[in-house]
Amino acid sequence: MKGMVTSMKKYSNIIQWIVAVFFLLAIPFSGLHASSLLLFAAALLIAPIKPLRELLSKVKIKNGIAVLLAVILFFTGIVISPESNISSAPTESTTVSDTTVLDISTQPTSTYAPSGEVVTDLPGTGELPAELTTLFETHSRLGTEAAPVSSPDIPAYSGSAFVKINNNTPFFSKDELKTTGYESYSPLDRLGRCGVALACVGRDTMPGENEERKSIGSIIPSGWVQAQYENVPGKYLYNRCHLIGWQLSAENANRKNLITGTKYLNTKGMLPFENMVADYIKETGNHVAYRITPVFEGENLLASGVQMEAYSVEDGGEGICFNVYCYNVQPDIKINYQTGKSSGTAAVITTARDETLTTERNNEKIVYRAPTGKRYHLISTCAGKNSYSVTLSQAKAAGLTPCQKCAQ
Amino acid sequence: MKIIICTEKSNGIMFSGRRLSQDSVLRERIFELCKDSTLRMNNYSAKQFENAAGIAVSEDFLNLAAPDDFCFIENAEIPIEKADVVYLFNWNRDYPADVFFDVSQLSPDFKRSSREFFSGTSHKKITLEVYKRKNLEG
Repeated sequence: MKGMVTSMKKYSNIIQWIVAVFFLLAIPFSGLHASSLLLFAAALLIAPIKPLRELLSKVKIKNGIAVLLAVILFFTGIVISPESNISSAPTESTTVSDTTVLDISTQPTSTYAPSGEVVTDLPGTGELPAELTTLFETHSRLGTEAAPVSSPDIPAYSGSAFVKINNNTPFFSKDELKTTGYESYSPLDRLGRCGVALACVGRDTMPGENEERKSIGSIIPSGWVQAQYENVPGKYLYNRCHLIGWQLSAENANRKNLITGTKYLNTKGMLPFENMVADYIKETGNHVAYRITPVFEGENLLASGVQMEAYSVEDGGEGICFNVYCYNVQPDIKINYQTGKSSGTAAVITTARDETLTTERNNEKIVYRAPTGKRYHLISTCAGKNSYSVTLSQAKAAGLTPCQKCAQ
Repeated sequence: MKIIICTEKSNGIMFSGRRLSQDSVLRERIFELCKDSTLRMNNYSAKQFENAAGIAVSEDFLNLAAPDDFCFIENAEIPIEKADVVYLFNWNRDYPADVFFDVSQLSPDFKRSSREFFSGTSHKKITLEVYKRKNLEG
């Protein structure tokens, strides 16, 4: 009989440990949020940890009650998690999935996976007044869930720096429209690529009158293999392109907001839209919901383009309303989107020089790694054709060791 | 009639049915130009001027205009053939556009009579060029 009780207790402990681990595993899926604490507390309550059990019995909480409390905490945590569709977090942002596809000619049906980090959430409720809510709802295609476009859905570049998407109507949800400024940037993915940047930009997010731009040269975005060509204005092929421009966000060296973009993407594609939004805000004092989605195909390190969506909040889109895709191309230059390497008929001044230039920035050594493999390299060609640049500390943090040939 | 148009660097005037930009200093400048004449525009443009007094607002403003009237045109067909003077403002910035003003229309019958620059509230440099019909010069 005693043996049976011991055996049952043993199995009960195992089950409790399994449930506790399950609760803990739910934390990364819920994102770092208040809900994480509830899930953690639920795991602690259910785990058969002796000191905790003793503590619970001291405060006269029986095992059954502890289990019930743990279950309640777990489900509360899940419900208030920003991942949950049950709640709506105004500062959420989307994440570009390698496989998520939007057919631009149809209603989007994608999943909405917020995982952004709020950089700024200015005070004030910023809730949309009732009359603007009504105005917003009259736009039939607005209010649907956002989804990144996929390159296969976009017509090939044919001389225009951008194309309209969804008849130029953006996909903002009502919760994303605010009358106070906020910004949200997605974490970099495992390849070091930026995700969606979502904001409501206004005078409250823009740089101050005498604020100066700071250097962003320390950031090495994915696909950054700089090259110079005679037929590129200013010669350099690539710019560090802000997703949400400095003139709208005052964001400087924020690696979650900078991608490798061609001069053409930056100046002919994105900048005109950004100018239009910035000038509208300066003149009216209104806010503009603004979402920039870099579009990467598969495991490419260089974005094929960016989707830009904007909607002026206080006037219900009368001033600003667009949804476009800007091409990350450079006329007459051939680009390998997998790596960021390029070639062109006009004289290439150097591509190797840039590797020298970028071997060290702000005391951060730059090395190269392949998507797979356990080594980091000082020479990109040694790392292979799919290699990309990372800082030495990032390489070490990923557990990579120096290449015997080039990094000893 | 005298027509007033605003363009961006590549002569774009509208994008998706919306104006590309606006500036309060430019609006004041328009009022100065029209101080002794009638300024006409449609409802869309009048909103930008906050329906200020003295503006004749009508959707049919181009047909109602007398020879000395000023017509501020944003989202309407530009009747160059009816114009005697064209006031062409340029924002000197790049904006996206899908409707453009074909400046070459001016070259056969119009001659530029003046060009000036001024700063706006949100634009560092705005250009104003005035084109007059050749047979009216003098």
